[in-house]
Amino acid sequence: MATVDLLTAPAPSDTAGRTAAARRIPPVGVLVALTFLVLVVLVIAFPGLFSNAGPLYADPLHVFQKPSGQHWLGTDQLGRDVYSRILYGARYSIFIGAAATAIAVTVGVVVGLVAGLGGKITDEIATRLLDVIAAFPGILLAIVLITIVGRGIPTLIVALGLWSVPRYARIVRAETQVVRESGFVEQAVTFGLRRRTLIARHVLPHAVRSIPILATMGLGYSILAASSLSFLGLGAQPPSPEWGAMLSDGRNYVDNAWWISVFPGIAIVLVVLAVSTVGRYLQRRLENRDLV
Amino acid sequence: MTSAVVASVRNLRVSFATPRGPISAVRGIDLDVRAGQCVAIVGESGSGKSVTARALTGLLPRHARLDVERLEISGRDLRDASETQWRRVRGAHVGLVLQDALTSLDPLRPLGKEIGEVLSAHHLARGRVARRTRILDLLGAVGVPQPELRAKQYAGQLSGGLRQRGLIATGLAGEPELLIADEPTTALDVTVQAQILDLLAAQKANGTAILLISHDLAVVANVADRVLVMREGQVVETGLTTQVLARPSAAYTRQLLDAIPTGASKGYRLATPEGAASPLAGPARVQLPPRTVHSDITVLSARGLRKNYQHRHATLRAVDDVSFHIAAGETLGIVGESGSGKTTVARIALGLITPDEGEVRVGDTDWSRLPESQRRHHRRDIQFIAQDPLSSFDPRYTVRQIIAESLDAVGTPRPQRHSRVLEVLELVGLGADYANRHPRSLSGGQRQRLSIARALAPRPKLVVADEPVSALDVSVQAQILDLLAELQAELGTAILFISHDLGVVHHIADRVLVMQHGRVVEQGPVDDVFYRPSHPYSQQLLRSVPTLTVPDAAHAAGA
Repeated sequence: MATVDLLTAPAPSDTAGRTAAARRIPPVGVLVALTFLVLVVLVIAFPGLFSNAGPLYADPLHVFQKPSGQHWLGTDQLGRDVYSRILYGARYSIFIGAAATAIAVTVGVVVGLVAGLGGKITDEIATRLLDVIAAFPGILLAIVLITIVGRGIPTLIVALGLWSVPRYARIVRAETQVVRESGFVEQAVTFGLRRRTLIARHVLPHAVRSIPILATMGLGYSILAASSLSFLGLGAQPPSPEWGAMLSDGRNYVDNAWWISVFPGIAIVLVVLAVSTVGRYLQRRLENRDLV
Repeated sequence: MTSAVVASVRNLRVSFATPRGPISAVRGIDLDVRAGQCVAIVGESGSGKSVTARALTGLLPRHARLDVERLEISGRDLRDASETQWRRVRGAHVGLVLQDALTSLDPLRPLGKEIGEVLSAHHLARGRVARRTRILDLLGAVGVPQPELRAKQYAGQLSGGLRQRGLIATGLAGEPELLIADEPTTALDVTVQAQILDLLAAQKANGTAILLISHDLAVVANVADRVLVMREGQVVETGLTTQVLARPSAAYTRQLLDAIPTGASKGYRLATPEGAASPLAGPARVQLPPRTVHSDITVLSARGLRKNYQHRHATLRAVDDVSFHIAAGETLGIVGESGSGKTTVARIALGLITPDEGEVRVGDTDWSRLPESQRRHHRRDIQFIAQDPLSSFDPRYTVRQIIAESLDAVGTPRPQRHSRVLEVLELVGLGADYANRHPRSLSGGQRQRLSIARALAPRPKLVVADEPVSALDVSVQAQILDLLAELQAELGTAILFISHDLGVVHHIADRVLVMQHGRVVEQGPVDDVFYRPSHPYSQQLLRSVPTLTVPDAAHAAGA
């Protein structure tokens, strides 16, 4: 919120009223992003509502069709409808992103908490492990894992999740170390609480405060990374309409049929933008909460 | 007193614009400070004393509105002075010394450079050699030993006393006619405080006019010639220090004086009850309810406690062979300066730190050696009151949850928990209305009441209180000390009371331990130790405490 010059500000009641209103209604950009995300959720749940063409239905007579009334976003090299493939593909891309983030948050919170609460040696081991993971470029880590375990969406999810663990674990570790030294934790010790009660009540809730925000931003990032891996042929396999895989497919025909690769790309960009816009807004809201 | 008037203020008003409308902080005060004179402004937090000091240095925040009939310093009219004009006055004509030297000194600049800054700002002592000599002279003048060495050191490398001296040196560097000291000794130990007060007195003797701002009447008593007592932005009383302290004409001044805990107030209430019959009538103190100490029942005993900390290859003896015991219903005080190990002793007693040697026995168990999983079953007997209550509350919790948690830990079933919460809230004078409030919305005194309520809820045998009143204003401190004494009489709880304030300990404790460098140098009944100290350190400590010599005499005469 912009600083209000108290001397030049209009009547006090006016100022107070406006700031209160500003606090309740999010800015237009955030509203647009939210609406878009609601639509995306509907698409994931009921893709059939928005399109009656099957994503895998190939029509060899109508390959490389330009966007038209019939095929809104054109058709690809096998004559499949790009629009409906993008709708059905939302499932894959967003599911991969969400699942990877869920793994990363779960493992990250546990590792961070253990490192933050444990002794010097535990902390040292956990921190070094996180450093090793973070030192790998994410894609390289995924390639290594895929080479060992084999291709497929589950491997992709695990690889992405694992790679994002340090983002969350480091924050939780740092917060835990602050909270464990705080007056109210010490006070809770003197009550004679069980250690696990104490951690659950007074350490965990404070240590994970920033996780929801980080996670929304991380979700956008994971979707992007999943698409990159699929683009490299390491993620979802054809004919799954995963956005990254579609981009990769369309790459060969970009000169004469740009729509095959451009529209999935736009879909990725829009979802990531919307998620991080909402994420940033939540972050501002939650950070200011304690000051109000 | 015919010396020249250095600072003259008439009808000073300061108000702050806030979203809820203007709030007036200072409502028309008059003030004259003469050369070689020390004028003190005394008041509690929110009285407007610091705002007055800021107005006299042109350092009011931007949203403040200044309205004054006369504001003259060294003959300059500064009513509508611009920032540029103020800059010429600050340092050269008015020096400012603030409370916390650690935040007032730049941590990235050596002390000598900091002083040199003031000199160069006012084009004084030009040339490297002249400037260096002047810096060393100034450090010498404020009593900094080894000035060559200290000038090269950073604020973080200096002790609290040296930092404060350094800060005073920066205040004096421009040879100002007026030195404004805002709570210059509040963060310091008593022995260091005594040295700083001597230093201010010496500056006064040199002809500097001093405006001293303080919450502590005793500090003021020894240095100031005149006192202004402020409350809610107004001067409630003004006059010669001796007169104001001996024969206060305002009820509020009387109340402040009565609130100061000393040996003389032992057994009596400190706070003036609401609507008391003319408090000016003299020391008509109300007696506290009597307490019973069961000296045959020991609630906690400590034997041969030792705790060392390793710090850069050096061993710091935080606690060195400390033994004591506390009987049921008794109050044991621990006094000492910062770093004396008193807080470490409290934390060992609470079972938060394991001692390297020695044992703490609670009832029949050697509690210091138990693993926490077993120790926690005994914890209901010992509760803790921390110095800063707010940080001891989980910020997510309401008043009700905060108290209920100490009951939950000892296994009180839910229905009883609820009624007990309301019961203890009533006990500490907060009442059931507070149950759903958040501690952030409470005042400092209310927070400490909540902290006491929480400590007493599980009916402990012993409460460990670490500096429980040192962050409070004197009149709030009086209420909290009265409350503790009342509850102790009613419930028979023993208290381990840790404080740096000798007056507070003398007032509340039965026996006392005097600690220095981790050792107990003297212990015994509080009157014996404080009236007839035998160890040289206790003697020095008691000598350093600024006393209200004048009103004490009046108390004696009235009694």
